[in-house]
Amino acid sequence: MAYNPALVQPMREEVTRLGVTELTTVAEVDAVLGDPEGTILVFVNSVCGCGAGSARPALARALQHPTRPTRVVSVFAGQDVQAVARARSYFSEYEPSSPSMALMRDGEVLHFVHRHQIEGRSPEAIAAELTAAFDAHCVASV
Amino acid sequence: MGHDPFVPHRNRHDLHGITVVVDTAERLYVGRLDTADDREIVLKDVGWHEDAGTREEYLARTAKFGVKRREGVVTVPTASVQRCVPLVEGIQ
Repeated sequence: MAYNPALVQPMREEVTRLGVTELTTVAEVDAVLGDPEGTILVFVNSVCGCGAGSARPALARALQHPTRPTRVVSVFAGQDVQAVARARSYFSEYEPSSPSMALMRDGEVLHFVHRHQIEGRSPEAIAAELTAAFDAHCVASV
Repeated sequence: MGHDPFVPHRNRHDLHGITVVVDTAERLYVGRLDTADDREIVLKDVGWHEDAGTREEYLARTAKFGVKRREGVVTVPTASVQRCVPLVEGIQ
């Protein structure tokens, strides 16, 4: 059962105000992930306080890093069900979990952060893992 | 008198919501811990090792690719549990 949209809206905005593009339909997902040019970070947003309460601040911190993916998009698990399923089909070798993050290039997963790698960790620690992946796989913005 | 503010997962086990490894003589489980007491541990979205490989190989694969869910809820008698640790510690 989906949560009340009014409850979820601040969690969406916590991500979109970072400049992240939220994908809520299958067509929107395909338009971005079906055109895998450059590096893309897919953030699977979630209501769960155990993980998402750290994941969103971690994303915010990581996106301040000078080296970042070309595009950053999000889908919201448990809310935009079809969009999430479609997004997961692009990294189907990884089991579904939320929150989670997939850094991709040319349709290939370069780095994946599962929910179990988020739970119980500080936003700073998660952001450090993300920025290390950005440094390894992305190009610094000028 | 006012209502208490909503606090998620208040009064839950310290590992509530955390993906844990539960090791028993019969089977090794990985799942999100829901509740735990001296009678039973309740896990959600649970996978377990039953492959040809070792338990360590199963844990390494699960750590990389995530928990392959076999059951929504599994209850494990606490007396049978040899260890219950977060997955991130269980693979070290």
